[in-house]
Amino acid sequence: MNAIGSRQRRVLRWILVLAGVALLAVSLTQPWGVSALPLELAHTAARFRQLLLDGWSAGEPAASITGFPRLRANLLADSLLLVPAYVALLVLCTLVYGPSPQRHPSLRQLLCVPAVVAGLFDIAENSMTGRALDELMRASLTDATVADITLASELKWTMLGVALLVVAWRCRVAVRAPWHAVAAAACALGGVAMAAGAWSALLPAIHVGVGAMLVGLGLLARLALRAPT
Amino acid sequence: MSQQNDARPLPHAWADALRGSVRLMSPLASLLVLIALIYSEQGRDVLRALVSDAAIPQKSGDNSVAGLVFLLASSAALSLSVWYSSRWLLTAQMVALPLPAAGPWQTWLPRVLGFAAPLAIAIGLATLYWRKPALEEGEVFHALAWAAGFVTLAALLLLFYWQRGRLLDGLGLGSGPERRRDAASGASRPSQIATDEPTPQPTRRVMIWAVALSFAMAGLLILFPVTLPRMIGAAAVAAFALASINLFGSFVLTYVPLRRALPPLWIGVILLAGVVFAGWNDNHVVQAADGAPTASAAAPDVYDAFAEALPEDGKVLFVASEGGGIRAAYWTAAVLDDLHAADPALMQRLRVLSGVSGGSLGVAAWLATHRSDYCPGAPAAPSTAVGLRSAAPPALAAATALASDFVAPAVAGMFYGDLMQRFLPFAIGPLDRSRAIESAWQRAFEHLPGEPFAHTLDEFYADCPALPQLVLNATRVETGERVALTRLPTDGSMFVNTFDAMRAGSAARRQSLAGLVHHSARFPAVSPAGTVPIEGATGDVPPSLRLVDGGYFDNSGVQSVLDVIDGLRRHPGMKDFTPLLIVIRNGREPLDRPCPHAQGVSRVFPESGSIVLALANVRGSHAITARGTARRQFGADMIDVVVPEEEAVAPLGWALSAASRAALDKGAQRAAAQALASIRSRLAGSAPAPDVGVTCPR
Repeated sequence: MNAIGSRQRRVLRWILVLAGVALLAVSLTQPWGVSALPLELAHTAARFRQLLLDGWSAGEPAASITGFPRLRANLLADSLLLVPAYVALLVLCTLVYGPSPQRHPSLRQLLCVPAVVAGLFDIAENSMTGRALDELMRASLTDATVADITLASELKWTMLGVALLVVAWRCRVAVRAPWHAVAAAACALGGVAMAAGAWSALLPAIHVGVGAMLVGLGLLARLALRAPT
Repeated sequence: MSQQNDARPLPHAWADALRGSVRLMSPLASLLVLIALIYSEQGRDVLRALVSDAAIPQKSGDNSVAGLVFLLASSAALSLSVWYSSRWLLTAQMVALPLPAAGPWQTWLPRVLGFAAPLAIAIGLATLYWRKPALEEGEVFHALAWAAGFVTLAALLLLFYWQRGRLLDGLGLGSGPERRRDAASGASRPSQIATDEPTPQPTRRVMIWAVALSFAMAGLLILFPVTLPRMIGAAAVAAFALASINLFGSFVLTYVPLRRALPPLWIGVILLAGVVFAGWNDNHVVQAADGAPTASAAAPDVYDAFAEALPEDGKVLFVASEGGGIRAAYWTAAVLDDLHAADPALMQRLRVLSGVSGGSLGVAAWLATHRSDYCPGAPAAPSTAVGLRSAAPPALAAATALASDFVAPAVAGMFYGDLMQRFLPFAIGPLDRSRAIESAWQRAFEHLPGEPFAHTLDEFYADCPALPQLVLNATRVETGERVALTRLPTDGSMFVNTFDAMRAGSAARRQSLAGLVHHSARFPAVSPAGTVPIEGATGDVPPSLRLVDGGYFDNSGVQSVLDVIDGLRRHPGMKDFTPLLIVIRNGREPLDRPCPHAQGVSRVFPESGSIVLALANVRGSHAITARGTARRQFGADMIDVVVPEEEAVAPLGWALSAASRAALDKGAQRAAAQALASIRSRLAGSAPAPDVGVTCPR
């Protein structure tokens, strides 16, 4: 484990605050009991439309819908708050538990790439979902557009899984302590569950993955904040 | 090497400037390409569309400032890329191209170059105010406000480049003020690395992240070749790409070799891509449509079908639509839509639609949209597209479907996938930018039953013998022959001096309608030549051929119509018929004579320039010859539908702003009304309304 200076602690605290705000914003912008996740993995235009009307139309009949402002706000909160938060947290954890900056400076940076790429896929997926809404409102939505959203989502979860596995691996290699082992196991479980869930369209598996990620990264953040300077 | 810059004599300063410009070739070229793209007709219309999207959502259908935000981000990326690379290229000591130690111009030139990227876009946005079509009330504010936004961004970036040392020191990330002072004089100076000094760690970090982000962006745009470029926008895609290309050109092709006493690798790389790899990495081989039948359908007996469907008076319509990118496509579809709306029965007399380039897209789009009018009972697979109000997609006019952005996928394919392909020694089909354009067209017409743009021409005509015949004109690279992509006989019995690319075994027969339209519309640089393999080729038939835009041979599409009419008339036993030829033109030139060109044009590079100029002008002259011949043959039975002067503001290219579309719609209504009057008078046997005369600009 690399030394954590006071500046990194400050950054970590800010990231945790951002993550908290992001989770709150995403929760507030989605209807109770509804999430945007099924939309991501809809696969077909017909299914996408049905999910939209069932979950995001606020009970309005299709003929009188003038827009989906709540879904747009949700996508915006995800792209501008949640994505930067989880990417920053993953990058920081990778750097803290990653190889020494003196011995492997380039490898240290490269190990952060999956987290950043996952963030890019997430932003692309959110933007394409917004685009799909535009197409649906303006004229018609095609299967090809929805397939793009689904592929972006699958790749996002896969890259997020890889980033979590990298953190788990580095954490296991860097520190041999029980709580670190628990955090590494949670991250590894999260990584595998996310990737498997995305490609099999098994939403519960993705939910398990997200939960494990929250536990793993949360624990690592707490351990990093409590570590001696 | 001198440490004093300000006392250098003039010849040395010239030599320094020359060396400096060689070092800066990549950032300068990147900036120039951006400026050329932004200030082209298509570039201005792309900016115009972004402003419309932000200002008048109900017209553009995309109530979003996302395009402008992406452009803001991409111009910042390009600015940072140009500034950072220029700074290293000018201040690092290089054995091969030495420069004096860093002076004020080496400090400030990179900053100014970085400042220039967002500024160029700001000026482009501001000048929309003076251009046609005029900005609407709400758009003026947005154009000027966003221009001010880009100026602000440029100023902020300049401030960052100037004061970044203090800023980074304040954040605890800088190298300290002492690092930026000359040890001897104590004066402020930029950091400079000596020839034998390794590249600093922070610079390496920047390199790694720049490369990683560039490849991530490339990967995203290759994986999502239509949706993502459309979302980001053509201008932003180009700026992001130029930022990445500049870093590669600056550091890999210039910085590294010059530091090792080698020449820049530009020429070597161009030769590698253009000569060495070119033999193995042709990724423009056409692909078959999904589920295309392996056995070609038997050639249809078009002569019998034509004779059986002749109206009692024998008067039938033929359409020729000239090339001109999306302007031609939209104009053609809008005119035909208006003619159909005014008199659907009249359009039942339509027999052949011949198109070139954008005109091919227009006629194919219109025919695909109106297929069910010609064969109402013919079965067609339901569309998988959905609408919001009902599960079935709404019916759209052909021109409305062409309102999509087709230029962004083309630009993304050109700057990312296809550019990367040129440096690989093996072909990767999905990197072909043709697929992005064709896929964009397929999606635009996915709402139609049977998704005709995604299927072969044989499937398009299956169970619908009354459907007018399409003739999509292309040009064969190897011989310059015209190529008619059609279900009409292409064996030489109908078309003169054409290559039969639709023969059995040709991959063209298994291509989708979008693929065939694209052959006709492969205009220079934007689309590459398409390679069409021919199975079982023997004797005179080559194993493959390459196709480019039909406009190289005849940009009017009239020559093919003349051949078809002649072929039908010469067929034994054919009934007598009277063809009325509708010529749809989107350019403003007289029908049968060229406009006199300024004499000065041929005086630039008179030796080599004359060759290029003559070759280019022959292309236009062929079209005039074809139209002039048709005018002699048909006289008043040839109806010239030309875009009115006041509405002739749309650019060439593959995307139209809402304002350009509105202008074309307005012009199409007027032109179609006049054409309808002429057609009806010819059907009634009376004299037609006189053509709208087109005069040459002074």
